[in-house]
Amino acid sequence: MCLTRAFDQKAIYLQRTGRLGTFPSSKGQEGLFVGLGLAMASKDCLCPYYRDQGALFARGASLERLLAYWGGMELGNDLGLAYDMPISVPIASQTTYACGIAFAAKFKSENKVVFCTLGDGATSKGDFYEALNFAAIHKLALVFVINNNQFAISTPLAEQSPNADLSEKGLSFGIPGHSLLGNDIIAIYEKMQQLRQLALTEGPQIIAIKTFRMHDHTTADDAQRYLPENYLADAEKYDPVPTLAPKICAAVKTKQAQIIETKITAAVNNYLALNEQDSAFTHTFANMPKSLVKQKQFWEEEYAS
Amino acid sequence: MQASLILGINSALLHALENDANIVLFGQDIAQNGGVFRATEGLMQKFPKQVFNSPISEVLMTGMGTGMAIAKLKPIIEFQFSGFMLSAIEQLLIHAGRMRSRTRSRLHCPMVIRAPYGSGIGAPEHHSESPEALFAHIPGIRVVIPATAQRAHGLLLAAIDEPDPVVILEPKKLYHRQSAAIQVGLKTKLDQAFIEKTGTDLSIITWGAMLPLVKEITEKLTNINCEVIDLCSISPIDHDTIINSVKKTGRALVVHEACQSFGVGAEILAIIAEHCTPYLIAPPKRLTGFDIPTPYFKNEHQYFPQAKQIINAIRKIMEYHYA
Repeated sequence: MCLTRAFDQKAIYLQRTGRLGTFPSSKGQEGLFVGLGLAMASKDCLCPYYRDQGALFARGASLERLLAYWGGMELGNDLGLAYDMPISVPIASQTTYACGIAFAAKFKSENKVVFCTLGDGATSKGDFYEALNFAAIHKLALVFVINNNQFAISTPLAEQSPNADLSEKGLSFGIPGHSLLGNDIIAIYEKMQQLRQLALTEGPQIIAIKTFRMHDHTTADDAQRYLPENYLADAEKYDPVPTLAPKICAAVKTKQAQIIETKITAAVNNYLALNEQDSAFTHTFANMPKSLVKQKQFWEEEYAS
Repeated sequence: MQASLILGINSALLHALENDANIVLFGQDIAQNGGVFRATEGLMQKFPKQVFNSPISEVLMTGMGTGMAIAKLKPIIEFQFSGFMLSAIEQLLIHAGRMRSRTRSRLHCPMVIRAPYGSGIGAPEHHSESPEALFAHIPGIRVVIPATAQRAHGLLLAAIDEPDPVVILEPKKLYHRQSAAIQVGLKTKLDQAFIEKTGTDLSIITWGAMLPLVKEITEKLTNINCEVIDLCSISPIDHDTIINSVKKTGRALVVHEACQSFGVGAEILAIIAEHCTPYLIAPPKRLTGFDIPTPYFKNEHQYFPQAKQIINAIRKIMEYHYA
């Protein structure tokens, strides 16, 4: 969690100094993501949305490659994770391919669970309901993890959904709903392990975890414009990092801080030296149509030379 | 044995299922019922694990196909009518069509989407749509329209083997049109147009249900020797076949049912303008549907090119002289 928090802080700094693009901090939500990432089996599949850096790092993702993603390079979609999907920006669109991956796992009788994360705003999308419906019919081993940080950019939950408790979203499909607060990473970790077993034996599960978004939606947002007065003060009470901190001894904390500092410095330096090598043309199709070959030739004459 | 488009499709699906245990077919009513046009007739009975009904969730279907393809299944998705497949545009554009580029080929989506398209069977509103241009404008996918039983069969086989998404729009008006026996298992090469009739006076480029109509008309026109091209590959377009033909004849006519503005005809005319202008002895033309919502079937023949309009268009081009 501390690595994620430090990374987010550094990413915001890079964005503010013109060296990274728009970036979504996960401050306050690290308990959810890191707890999830640590609980998943290595061959499980994570279908993230775009705020999952905590889960990605817990599963071994490259810090510098994630910076590359937010720095505007396709390189950033190779985080070194063999089993997980890339970041999904269009809201809730990952819920449907999560179904496809879970279906394939069932088809091949694999002992594999798909974890699909989404925000509170995503629970309004048709994609989400179609995915729940299908997952329930086929009893897919699929866990939907809703990060309810109570705001979809500026839209509070009450304007997004009639359900204050988003774990109810599965009721009409017979999908069990679970709820947790986002402040206790240990509880989250244990719950995710339980959900994993339930998904394998009984079918899809929904868990809604209430968190507080301690930073703006992204660096392009100004949450001061709309957050209620007490929101950030409440957020501090439910911050998962200080909640866990008393349980960690001082020596470990010091050592961790050093490791984190080293990792982040290395990642930033490597990121700043990165450049996209591959041509977009080469990777549009396996078999490049002639018409695209012609366009590539034009590109080489006009742009690449 | 006689064939038809629908039999060609069915035999291609059967052939594919017999040879690949990872193929999955889904769509509305394709299992027990064999599909509303019987494209999947008999398949669920032979391959019950691999052929199943999807709920009415078009948004889900394409997304699922994306995930299945990434997870090494081979999904072949049937949308019941092209008028109901528009949600597929979103998923193809945001994920399936760009997954390879996004991940620099680490992940890719070999998937096939097929749907009946076009008018001519007297169906209700929304059942006669021609949305090929909407799909053609999506990078990273292919769009094909087979107009013969052999092409329907062969292109489907080729699409199944292709490592990237292919959308097949099947001209439903031609589904049951009788044809000569087909060669089962013979793939048709993607990305190519076909010269259906060679000629010297005018290149007519068309596809789908318009193709047999144009062929019939031009075969009867004894004083004008038309070259008829089945575009077949809507995206990517086979530039070479069109360019070589129009350079030869000096005249071009595109015939399509879809509405005119921003249609595939516009793209073909752009290609002709860019590459054939010095060879043109008449301005290239398109004869198409109008920029109106697809009309209801009772009077649809008043809005889509018929024999009369096609013959008139041919005559006008042939009579054209630069001042």
